Order: sequence, then C-alpha cells, then structure tokens
Amino acid sequence: MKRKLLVFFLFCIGFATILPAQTARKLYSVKGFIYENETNLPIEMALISLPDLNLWATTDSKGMFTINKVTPGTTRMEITCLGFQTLATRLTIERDLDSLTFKLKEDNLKLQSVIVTATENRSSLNTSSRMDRQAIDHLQVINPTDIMSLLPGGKTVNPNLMSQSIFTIRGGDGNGTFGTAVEVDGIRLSNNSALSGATGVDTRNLSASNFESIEVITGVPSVEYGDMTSGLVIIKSKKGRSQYNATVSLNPTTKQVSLSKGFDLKKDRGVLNVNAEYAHAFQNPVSPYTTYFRNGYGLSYTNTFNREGKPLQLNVNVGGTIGRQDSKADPDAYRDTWTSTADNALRFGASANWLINSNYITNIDFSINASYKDDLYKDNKYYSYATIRPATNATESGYYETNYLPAQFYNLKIIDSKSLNFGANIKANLNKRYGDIMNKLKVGLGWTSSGNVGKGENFEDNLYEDGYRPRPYTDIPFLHNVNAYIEDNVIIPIGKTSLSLVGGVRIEGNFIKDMAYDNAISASPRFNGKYTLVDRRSEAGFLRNLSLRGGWGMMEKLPALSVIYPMDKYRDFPVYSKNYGTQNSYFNVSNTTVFRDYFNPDLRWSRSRNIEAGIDANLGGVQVSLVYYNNKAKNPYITEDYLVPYSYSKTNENFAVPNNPQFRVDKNTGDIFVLDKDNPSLGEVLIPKSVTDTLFITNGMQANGEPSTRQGVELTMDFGKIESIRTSFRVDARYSYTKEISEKLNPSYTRQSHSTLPTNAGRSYEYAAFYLGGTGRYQTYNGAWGDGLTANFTATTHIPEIRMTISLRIEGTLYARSQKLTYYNGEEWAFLLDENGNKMDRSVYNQKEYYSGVWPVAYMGFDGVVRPFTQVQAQDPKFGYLIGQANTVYSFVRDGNGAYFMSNLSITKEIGDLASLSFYVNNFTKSNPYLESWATGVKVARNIDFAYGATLRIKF
Amino acid sequence: MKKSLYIIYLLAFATLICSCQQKLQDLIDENPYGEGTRKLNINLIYPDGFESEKAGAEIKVLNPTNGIEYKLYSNDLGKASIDLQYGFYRVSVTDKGAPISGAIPIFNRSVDQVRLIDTLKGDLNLNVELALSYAGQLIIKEVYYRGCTGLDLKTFQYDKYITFYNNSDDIAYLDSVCFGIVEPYNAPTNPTPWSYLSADGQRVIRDTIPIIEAIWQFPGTGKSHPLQPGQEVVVALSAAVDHTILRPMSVNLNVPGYWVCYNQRYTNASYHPSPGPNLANHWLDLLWKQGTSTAYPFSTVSPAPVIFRIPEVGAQAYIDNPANRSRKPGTTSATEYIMIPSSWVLDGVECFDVTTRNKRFPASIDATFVVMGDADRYLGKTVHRNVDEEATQKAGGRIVYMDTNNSANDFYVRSSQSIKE
Repeated sequence: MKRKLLVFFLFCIGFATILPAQTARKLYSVKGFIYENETNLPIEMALISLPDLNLWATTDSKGMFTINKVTPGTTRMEITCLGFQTLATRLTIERDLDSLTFKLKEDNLKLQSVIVTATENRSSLNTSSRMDRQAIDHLQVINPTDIMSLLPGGKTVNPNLMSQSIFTIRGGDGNGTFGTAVEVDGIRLSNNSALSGATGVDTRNLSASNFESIEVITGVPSVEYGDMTSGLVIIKSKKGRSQYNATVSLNPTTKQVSLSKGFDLKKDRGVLNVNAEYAHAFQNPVSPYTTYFRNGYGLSYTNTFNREGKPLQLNVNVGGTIGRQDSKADPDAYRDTWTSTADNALRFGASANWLINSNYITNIDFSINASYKDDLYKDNKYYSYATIRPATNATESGYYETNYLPAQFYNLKIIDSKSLNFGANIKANLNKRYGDIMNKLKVGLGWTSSGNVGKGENFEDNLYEDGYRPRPYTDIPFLHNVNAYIEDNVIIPIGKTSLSLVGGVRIEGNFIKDMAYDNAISASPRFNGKYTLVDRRSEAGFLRNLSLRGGWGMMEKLPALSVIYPMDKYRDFPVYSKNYGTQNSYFNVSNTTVFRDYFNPDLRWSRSRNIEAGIDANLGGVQVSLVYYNNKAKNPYITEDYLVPYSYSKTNENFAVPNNPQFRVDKNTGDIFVLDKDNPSLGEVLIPKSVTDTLFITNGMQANGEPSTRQGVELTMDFGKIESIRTSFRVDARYSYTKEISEKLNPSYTRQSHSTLPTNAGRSYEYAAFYLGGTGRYQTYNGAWGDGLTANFTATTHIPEIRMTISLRIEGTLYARSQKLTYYNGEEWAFLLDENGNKMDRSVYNQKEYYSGVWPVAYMGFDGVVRPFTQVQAQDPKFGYLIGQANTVYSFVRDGNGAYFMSNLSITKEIGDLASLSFYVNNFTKSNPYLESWATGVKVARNIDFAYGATLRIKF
Repeated sequence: MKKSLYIIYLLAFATLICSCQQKLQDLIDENPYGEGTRKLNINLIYPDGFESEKAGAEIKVLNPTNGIEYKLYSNDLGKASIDLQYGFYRVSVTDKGAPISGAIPIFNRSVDQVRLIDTLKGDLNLNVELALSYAGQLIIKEVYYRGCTGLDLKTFQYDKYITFYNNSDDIAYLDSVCFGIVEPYNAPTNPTPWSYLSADGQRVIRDTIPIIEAIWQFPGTGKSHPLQPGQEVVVALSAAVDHTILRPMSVNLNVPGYWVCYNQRYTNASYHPSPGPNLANHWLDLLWKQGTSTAYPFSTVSPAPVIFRIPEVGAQAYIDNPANRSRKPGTTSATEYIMIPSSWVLDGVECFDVTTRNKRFPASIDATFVVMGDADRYLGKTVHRNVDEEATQKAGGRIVYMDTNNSANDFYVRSSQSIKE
C-alpha cells in the first residue's frame, strides 16, 4: 500500500514537470494603484490576489502593486486590507495592464451592505463558513466559541468565561470534542500533550478583541490539514495598518478592555500590529470568590520584500496570555481552602510566502511555529479526621508498612503541566493553465512534535495522599509526527458548465521513543468535486447559479499522550491496621500490586470517514445551500477493562499487641511480627493471619471503541436585502442524526460479599460478569439513536444614513428525539420483567408498564474460564447479583420534546468616525417554557437565561 | 288392652326415672361445699424450645369464693400437685424464662373454672399450655450523632456512638442482639414508601420495618456478655479511639467494655480507623452488608436506630432467606432491605431534625419522635432518655428510664455526651 502511494506521488511530480514544456504561452504583467475611496490617499500593504492562479502582490507606500507573469484569460481578483471592505471583481488579461486603479471603501456602517452573519465560502469545494470582523463585533464575542451560534442551526450560548471554551463541529466524533482542531495565525493549538485526557483545546485564553476573521471548515477539508476528524477552525488576527482601537465590553459578570494599533513603520519597512487585552469574569456577582482573568498580548510584524520581482511576504507573530481561574469556597465554611488553575500560553509563529511564479513553482510557503501552554493547577485543601491515616505510596509489589498522614492538616496539591508543541511546514503550489483547463498542484511536507515538560502531580511538604505515585511528565517522550501530502485541483470548463475536482492524499508517520505500535504510518486520501451547472450571476432570472458538490475523505486524529504512553497501574489493599498505646498511634500495612507493560499492540489511531454532498444555488436572488454530511468515526480512543484474579492475606487485628511495640513486615509473605520494646527478651511474636481473600482486579488499557455515525443536513437560505425596508433575511437550519450501538463485551466486577459464605468471614464475591456494550446492573440498553431539528431566522436591518445595524434573531428547536436501543446478534438482548420478576415474551420497546432486565452475556470465576450465562445461572441465587434491572420503566420509550423558541436582539450604532456602541440582549422575551419530556413526563425549563451586555469601541 | 299399655308406659317411665336417678343422685351427691379434698395435678406445657424452663414456675391457684390463693412451684418436670378442698378454682401461671438476647421470655396462662368435686374419680390432671411473649430488657439510652467542633474550629463527626441500657431488674445478655438502622437514612420529607393509606384515610406504617445497608450483632454463645441491671453498654459507630486528645469537646471511646461497629469489609480508613487497644474482641459481628459502600453510614441529621432479636431460625439463616428481603416499593432500584417484624424489636428511637419530617417507625416501636435541630449540631449534644422517677424509687435507687415507646416523652436533648462524666 505504501509503495503504491509513493509511486503515485512521484508520478504526479513528474507529470507536473513535463507539462510546462508543452505549453509556452505568453505571460503578461499587471500593475496598478489602490486608493482610499473618500480621501484618495494611497493604501499601503493592501493585498491584491488572483486566487485561481495563486498569484498575489502587496502595495507599497505609494499604493502601487505589480504582478508579473500572469497567464492570459479572465480570472477572479480580490483586494483586501485591514479596515477596508474587500473588493472582489473579475479581471481580463489580454495584454500588459499598467495603470489599473481601484478604490477601497472604509469598513464601517456607512457601507451599503454589512454582513453580521456567517457567509458560506462559495469558492471552496467543501463546506466552510466564515465570520468577518463586522459579524464578530456585532455578536460581541468574548469567547471564540460564541461564533458557533452563527453556523447553520447553531444555538446561542450566554458569554461565560467561567467554563472552558471548546469547539465542537457537527457533533464531534467518537471522542467528542477531541477531533476538532483550532489554528491561530497558522499556529496549531494542540491538546495532545496536556495529559488531561482526550478533549478538545480550550480557547478561552485567546484575545477575541483582536480577531480579524474566524473560518470554520467542515466536510472533507484539504489534505493540507491533519490531526483532526470533525473539522477545523481557523482564526486570523488583525494584520495591517490601523488607528488606535480601544474597546470596553461589559455584561453582568464579565468585563473586557482592549487596545490595539497597527503601526506603519514607513518607507516600506512593513507594519507592526500590537494588541493588549484584559478580561475578568466571575461566577456570582454577590459572592465573587470564583473568578477568571486573562491578560492577552500580541505582537505581529508583516512586510513584503522584493515587490517588483518575486515578492516575499514575511510575517512574524508572538502572542501570549497570562490567565488564571481561581475558586475559593465560602470562607465562612472553610478557611484557606482554594483551587487555582493557571491558563498561561505563549505562541510564536513565523511564516514566509514567496511568489516565485516560475514554470515549476508558483508559490512556496515556509512556516515554523511553537506554542507553550502552562496549566498549573493548585488545590489547597484542609483535612480533618479522627486519627492519623494510612497512605500507600509503594512502587513495588508486596506487603509494606504504609506512610502516615496527620489527622488534621492543610495539603497543597500541585499538578504542573506544561505542554509544548513545535511545528515546521513547507508547501509549494504550482498553478498552470493548459488551454481552458486550470490545474493547481499542491505539495507539502511537515513535522510536528508535542510533549509535556511539566513535573506532573506533586504535593507540597511531601504529604502524599493515599495512592499517589510520583510520575513526572518529563518522563514521557515527545510524540513526533512527520507528514507529507499532495493534492491536485483541476478545473475543467465543459461548455457553459465547469467541473472542479480535487484529489489528494496525506501520509502521516507517528513516532515516539520506545514505541511498539504497529501501523505507525497511515494514509488519508480525500476527494472533492464540484460541478457548476449554471453560473449567470450578473443576469436576472430565476436560476442564476447552480452547482452540485460532493466529497469523500479519511481523516486521522493523533492520540493524546495519555492514550499512547502506558502508565504503571497500582492496586492497593489494606491488610492490617492496629491502634496501640494510649495516644492513637497506628501501624498500618497494605498490599500493593504493580502492573507494567500492558500497552495494547492493537491500538489504532482514531480515523474518521467523512462524506459530504451538497447543492448550492441562487434562485432569483436567494442564495440556497443544502448540504448532507455523514461522518463515521471508526475507532475512537477508549479505555478497555480486563479482569485479573488476585489473592492476598489479611492479618488478625484483634490480636493483642504490647503498648510499646515494634513491628516488622515480611514483604513477600505478609507476615507481621511484633516485638515488645519494654521486654525485648521475649522475642518476636508472629501475629496470626485472619483471612486470605481472592477477588478480581480491574485494569484498563487503551483500546479503540466501536464506530458511530453522525449524519445531518444543513440548510442556509440567504434572501438578500429588500431595499425598501433595508432589511436582509436569512434562514438556516440543521437536522442531525446519530446512532451508536456497542456489541463489545465489557467485563465488570463489583467487590461485594461472597455469595454463600457469611459476611463476617470477609470474603469477596467470586464471579465477574461480561456485559454487552453499556449494559450492567442498572442499565439495560447498549445503544441509542437521536435526532433533532433546529432552525434560526435572522433579520438584519442596516441603515447606512444613520450608521446603525439592528439584527433580530429567532432561534428555534423544532424537535429533538432520542431512544435507547438493545441489540445483540440481530435480536433484542434486554427483556421485560412482570410483577413477579419473570421474563415476558414481549418487545421492550415503547411500553411504560414493566421494567426491563438484562443478563450478562458470560461470567467468569476465579479459574479464569469464561462460561455463557444461561437460564441455569439465572435461577441460581448465587448469581442474582449479576442480573441487571433498569431503574425506570421508560428506558426504551422514545424520548424527546416539542418545539420551543427564543429571540435575541443586537444593535450596533456608530457615533461619527470616533466611536461605535453595540448592545445585545439574549432571550429578550424571557422565553423559558417548561417542556415535558415525552418519556418521563418531567418538565424542564428550556432556553438560556436572559442576558445582556454592551461594548464601546473608540478609534483615535 | 288399655291396661297393658298403661303398664308399658309405667315400666318405661320407671326405667327412665331410674336411669336419671343415678344422674340426679350424682348431682345431689356432688357437693362442692361439702367436706373433702382432691388432688390437683398440674402439668405445664411449655412452647417448643423452652422445655428447660419447666422448673420453678410460679403457679397460683385461687379460690374465688373465699379468696384463698395458693402458690405452687413446678418441679423439674413442670409438674406440681396440691390437695385442695372441693371447689372451683382459677389456675394462673406466670413464668419468666432466662433472658436471651436482651429480652426475657414470659410464659403466661390462666385457666378458669377448674372443678374439684367429690364425684371425681381420682385426681384431676390439668394440662396448662403456656403462651410465650417477650419483655424487653434493653433500651436505647443515648444516641450521639450530631458531632462536635475541634480546636481547629472545624466540625467533626467521627465520634458517633449509641448506648444501650438494661432497664429491667434481671441480668440481660447481649449475645445475639442485633443492631441496625431503618430506611431511609434521614427522616424523609414525604411519607415513607413503606407505608400505606388505610381504609379510613389514615397513613399506616407497615409493621415489618426495613433495615438498610447492614445488620450488626453482638457475638457470643448465649451468656457470654451479661449486662447487669442498671448497666449500660456503649457502641461506637465510627472511630472507637480516644478523640479527646485532639478535640476536647469530643469523647474517649477507647474504654474497656465499649463495643464498636468495626469490620474489615468497611475499608474507609478515615471513617473506620482500627479501634483502640481496649476494644479488643469487642467488635460487633457483621451479619449482612448490602452493597459495596466502604463506610457504615449513620445519619448525622436524623437517624432511626433500632435493636432487635431474631429468634427461632437464627439470624444468619433468616438473613440468607430471600423471602425476608424486599426492595423498596415504588422503585426497582436493586437495593435490598431485610424486613424485621416489629414484634422482634427491643427498642427504637425516631430522631428528627425538624418537626415536619415523616416517620419511619410504626407506633408500636415509637409513637412520636425526638427533635434535635440544626442549631444544636456540632456542639457535642446528644439525645438521652428521661429518668422515670417513680419507677426508680420503686426499684430502690436503680435508675429506671422512661420507656413508653413515645420518644417525645421519653427523650430530651442533652447538652453534652453522658459518657464524658
């Protein structure tokens, strides 16, 4: 398989190099000037790009730009600059163009059209939504995840800095938020080395006031992006010359202040952007003991060199945050107990984009980046107990005396986690036109490395709590990933239609020191296609634009370090505890077992197969976009249990010991000897054992879970602006459906008393059970399906004369349904129980009269032989504990709720050229209806709480 | 013709008269007021298992007409004999058996109209079948569950204990006495699911009470652990150590003679540290443990402790029998409870934190409740029985506590733990 890919790779390169020799066309140059619309002053550092040809240029201090070696024809052109409205037009090149002039309008509310919602990126083949500065300002984003409400079917969340802000796209994958990636200015934020588990990255520490645009890429993205399964969020911060921008943002629990400026270093020395932000939030305005603050700083330098020849655009940015979440319990109850979690981050990125524009290479991109995140967690607790207590911290197997913790003490627990990520990338583009066919070839190579240099969990004063074993994170080696990709995009005009095809493959190799996993190298192919049938955007008529698109691709998510690096597991059992003397002195012994080297050689990296199909159309001025997606998460990361029988012996605590004893423990046999220090001549006495107990120990190893599918349909309809009422309307909706069933057998053991021996004998239960999927003693279902439909309607009124925009948004959840499933080998596995506890011969679904029960599929005794669980065992009272029974009659009833709505209002008003004021109210009608859940009949209040806030922006 | 009929009639009549004559004569002869004595042989029949009690039972034979009462004592075979004048007598037997498990078996029977008449042929043999009932000797004297405050100004609740007291004038034996708490742990805000509405709309709590989580039992073979009249026994529920070292407001539970609910199945070393050396061999047996919790949860707000016996079949066999377990009505949580008939209960106390809670005990165990509210917590306060002044005087100085099964009368909130003095 790998060899075939290599051959394909080489073939593509060869093809690309041969072809230029056959097409020697005449190339032209394009020159021009960019001015401000109102003042006619030249604009420096404006970016003029021809995206279909991948050519670009930036203006110098006189506003002049030059693009050389442009292939003739008609192509799209975009001119962007910070603070100005983007100009998109089409350019026809048949000869050298010398004196083009373009005027850019200032980006404020005086413009005729202002977009405060998400816009779909029509030029890309997969689904991507983009939110620009106007939408981010109007929404008053404090947390980056606030923008998710602007996506199709998105729901508003009240801004809240007190909880983590993690992106999840289209329901995530089998590991939830872990599969969604976030990139800031080309620097990938990664949670792989945070060692806190497989969750997505917390974006709470990013300075939202400095965002220029946020783009959410879903579907089947380009092979350029890796280490994700559900989608990618690309955040770009402001770059370019600008005035001083100060903002103050307030809502009842949060305040945010920021200042930014883009300095023009004059004489073509580039632009330096500086920003600083301070945000502070607290949970409860009355008792401000739980707080979060962030201080964000950013510095970014951009310049273009060699503008006349082969321009090189360089960008270096450094950003960081110092933040912390503190929480103190009410000091009247517990003095001096608190927790604090640091949220410090430092990011560095440098990228260079060199427009070579030769026969072999059009563009080369280099970039290197590094990011560091410090999550220092401190927890100060007070412990107050009757006596000193044992703490087992042994690191070898055997019987040992324990450590002792005082009866009353303060203890500070510190978890020092410092994750470090590095990356370097090189990407080359080759755009070539062969007759009418446009071919864009993209090749790239990259390396990323992530690790953790923190000290791990530690306790001040070395007062280790029970079960603690030191494990510095620096012991875990770095995870290296080397990737290479190649992608080819062909745009073929067929008569009046046009077909665009993208195909690529990404090859990744993952390496970690001393790793013994197979299949470290994998390939993820991705394909996208778009067929544009009708493209008559300038004309009137009903069908102005119609295109069909679809994609299929594989995506892979790297594991978190906590998943792949095996950790030693310790199991401790208290064996002997003796209170001697008159001062509550204790001697404790416990038995420890260490499990090492139990990594799973069959562990695979989590992969997802994504499919997308969509229709984009413009019907009489209404932009309609309908997309169907089907994401199958193939093997998410889970922890799988396995059981091991284990015996240990306890010693008789009733045996009298002298008042001044000296104990000795034999590490291997567990024999405890006691010597009377007042009468040493009597010698050591062996304290008799009391009972030898056998039980099962549960161990976990990292494995892959069952696949699950997430499907849905997203619809957006943009009705455009109705001039007479100055209002534009937009409807978006999302239908999502998920289904998962687990037919894996999971071992389960609860340590309760032996089934036949008397409780006083101190023996443990002798059977372990293997349950299907998620079933167990209290749960009888092993799968579930759910679907739901949400729809939003946004009306935006924009009045340029008074420089005001008002948007009213009605959010509705039309319905949500879910149902639990029971399924094994094609049949229902759970059964109904009548009043006497006997099995009934009816389906468990959709009835609310009887409780459901479930058997384990198999059971195991201490001999380790797994036997099927049959009627014989079900009637034997020894196994009665293993039979599961649901706690409710409505386990398998279809659950869901009906429709409920709420509405939000946002207003932005500019006051001259100096200031602008934004005000929002969420759920301003205070609509919190009590909706009954269909299954349980319990009524729950829906919709978010009433919330409001305001932001003042000043430019000077 | 008519003459022969007459003769036949006469003959028949005569025969009839003659046969009745004997009966009449017997009646006339039967003279309870006549002189003469008969022997009355009384044979006491004890219920199964109590044959050993036959000797020394007190038998009272009363002649209601002249009020003379004779007192007899049965011999080893449970027999007694007395020569009595003719008459109608009432025979009543009351016997107290040897105390077992904190209760005294009482055998009662009263037989009226025992007829001793001269027409009796020989002795009158009377079999008296005795009925069995129990009189409680042990009562709950004090429950300390609200905790105290340490020198570090932090609250502390690991020094809980409960005290049992021998309120009778006989030696009581702790052997096989069982201790447990009744579901739910805290007094519920809604009527307990173990109750029902009777026909006249009254809420009635079931007569079998559910014991939650565990049953503890005093060990012993029958007479191993005597408790003298007027003596108490302290059972520590959490940490049986000397708490006063670190917290002067607390108590010292490391005293010889105290007991502790300690079993290595409860592995929570904070809640159940190993008991002090003075409590060696004074651990209650753990007869039954429902689930997997690592500590024995005794409510610090409103507990309902109860002590009881399990007679006849024996505690372990009773607990092992699935017919004696029940799940909570109205849910099917798989948690099981052991059902104990209230006739086996020696004593129980219903503790509330506010008066608006609902009861867990039927009236036969505790008709009302004692209230120790939140204002009294963490101050070392306990609920303690009131002294029954009258009965104490009658007992000649041995303190007798009020036991009317009505804790509103029987208990009060004591400002400090009684074992501190």
